[in-house]
Amino acid sequence: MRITQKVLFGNFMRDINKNRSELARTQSDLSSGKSVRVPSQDPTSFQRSRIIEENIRKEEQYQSNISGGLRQSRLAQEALDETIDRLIDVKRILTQGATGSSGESVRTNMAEEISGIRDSMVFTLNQSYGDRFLFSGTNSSVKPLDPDTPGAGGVADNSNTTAPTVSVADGVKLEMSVTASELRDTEAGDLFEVLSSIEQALRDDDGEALNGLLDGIDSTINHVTTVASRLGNNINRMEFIFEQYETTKIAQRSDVSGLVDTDYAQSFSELQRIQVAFESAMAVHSTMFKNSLLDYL
Amino acid sequence: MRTLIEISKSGLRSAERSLAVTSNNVINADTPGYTRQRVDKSPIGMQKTGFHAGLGVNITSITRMRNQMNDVVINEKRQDMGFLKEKAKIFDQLEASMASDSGGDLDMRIGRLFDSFSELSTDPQDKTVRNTLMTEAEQLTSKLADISRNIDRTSDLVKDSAGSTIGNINQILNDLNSLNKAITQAQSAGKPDHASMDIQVKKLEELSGLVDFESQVTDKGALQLRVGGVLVLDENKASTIKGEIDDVNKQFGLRLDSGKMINSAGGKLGAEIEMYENEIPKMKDRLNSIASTLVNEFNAIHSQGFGLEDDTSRNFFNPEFTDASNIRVDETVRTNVDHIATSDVAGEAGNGEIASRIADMRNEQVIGGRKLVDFSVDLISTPGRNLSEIRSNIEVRDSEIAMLEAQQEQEAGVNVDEELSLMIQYQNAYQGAARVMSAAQQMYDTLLSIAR
Repeated sequence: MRITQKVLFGNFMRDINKNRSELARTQSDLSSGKSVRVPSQDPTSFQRSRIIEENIRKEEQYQSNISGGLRQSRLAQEALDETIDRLIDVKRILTQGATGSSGESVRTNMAEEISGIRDSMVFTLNQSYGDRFLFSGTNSSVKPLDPDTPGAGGVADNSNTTAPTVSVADGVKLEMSVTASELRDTEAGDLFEVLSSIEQALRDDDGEALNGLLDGIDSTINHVTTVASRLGNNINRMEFIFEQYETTKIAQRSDVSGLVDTDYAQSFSELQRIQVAFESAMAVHSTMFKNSLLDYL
Repeated sequence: MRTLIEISKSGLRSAERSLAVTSNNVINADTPGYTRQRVDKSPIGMQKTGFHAGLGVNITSITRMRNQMNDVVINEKRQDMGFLKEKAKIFDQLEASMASDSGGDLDMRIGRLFDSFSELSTDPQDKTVRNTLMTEAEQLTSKLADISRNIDRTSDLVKDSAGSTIGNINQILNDLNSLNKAITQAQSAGKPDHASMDIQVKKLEELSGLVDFESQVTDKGALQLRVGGVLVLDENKASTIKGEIDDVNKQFGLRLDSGKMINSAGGKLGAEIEMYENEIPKMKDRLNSIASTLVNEFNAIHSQGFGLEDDTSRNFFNPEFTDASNIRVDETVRTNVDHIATSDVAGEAGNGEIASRIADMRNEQVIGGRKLVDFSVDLISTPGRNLSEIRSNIEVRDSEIAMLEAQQEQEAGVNVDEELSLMIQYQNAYQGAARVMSAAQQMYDTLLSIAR
């Protein structure tokens, strides 16, 4: 077999170029920390990683939704707790007022107190988050309770029956508040109606009526507590789902990393191997090229 | 006695000639297309009374050591290589314009828009969220326009490049035609024109990277070339190829000056035509289908809903523009983000039903049986997928060509060491012949001295 100088040189260039391109690849893998940066490096891994990333992105959005939802839900929950406390105050006043020992002037004072409690409850339930009134349902651009407009118990209801929701997962929505309409709708009738009946009975100094209202205030408290605990349940669910996303996110991130990130141990040993090949190619070829008959002529 | 002088003279001439051929080999060791040459010699003899006398040496011919078959095979591989390399180059450009390692690609832009709608469904009254959503929507439309523009630009570049490839092919065909003349004339005169034949080898090598052809050599030694079965180079005529471009329908035809149409399916030109006619338009179509799906699907839901300000239903994207190059958000919605529909009931500011339905669309298979984001990932990976496949093919072809070239080099290549040793051999032969002449001279002198 005739081996010409051109064959030697051609082989040398091919080997060197191959080594160089492998070196360049390993170098960029190591310096960027990624082995798949563009689809052509590994189309399947690239596609898979992008699809997982889309899923991560989606779930992070749900987490962000949940965070926003939780802020509003907690505000709503506080408002409900406050409302329950106020109702308990009402019950205390009512119980005192219902005993025969209370005189007319005491009862009038109590009636004033009830009226104050009612106003503060209206204020609490008109709580807003940004532009949104928490208890207005989806009609949240207007205050849910309006004491200046006639309505049941002297407070008009502007809320609707659809509670605002937050998307927490594909096709799953949780209510992040309750509507004033639902809150008011107790077994004993409208909540503010109950309050105004108590106020009226106190003003009328009507002990019998007051005794009759004790059951009403109890069931009102029960109703608000039930609604508040349902909201509490939703808050728990949101927190639980949020944590679940945290966990799956770690798994998914490590999936993406496995697909596109550099395996350092492997890359370094690869680097070593190519370096040896590269150096020996240089060494052997530079020795080969020196061998020429010219030196002996 | 005179024969002695003649014999040494033939020896001197042959050694000198051989040395010239060897020198030429050494000097051209690195010249592309060059084929090493060998001197063929034969002894001269004459029948004398009673015996046969040798009368020196004769150079019968100078041979080109080349395997023509091998050339044909290598050139076929080179046509394939030219095709693959050009395709790889174009796909590389397309990949660069579609996918990056910094994120912000089409798939992310679409995902982000869905994110914004999801966020908005939770907080329909938040102006900041609405503004962010509009920014995302505009980034998406400008991304689509950007990719569309890049694809168009690549298409134009490929078209122009095909034009200059045709120019190169015509130039080479012309050169080959001139070489044909020189080669056939020399052959009919009985003195092969080795230099022209070597240049022909080089020209054919160049041509094989550009276009697919079949070659044939006529009895007179002329080269005939056919592209797609049609003769483009004959004994005494080279055709000129002209590109006929229909930029609207993306058609690229090749017409000869004789009026015949030819097809090229290989080489650089074949790749350019295939990319221009098929691959690039296909990619553009898929991009446009993303744009039109976005417009139709978003509008279908958005137009059922209501914004914050009035009870009017609106489209989200302007339905008149459904191409990637011109997709845009409806002007009224763009200038007033309160018109982004979130509620399915007029006047309910806190209702995020419509926004949530749009956000849920990311899980629906609305385009080619796939989700929008998956489809986009597939689209931006397409050039890379092709590129990776072509690259592995190139590697295979490359080693095949290297092997065949080594085979050809075995036959036709110049080994400098070998030529140097031949040089010494011819030098010695020359010295020997000169010595014969000097011995003959001495013999004459001796003879003449007797006569004096």
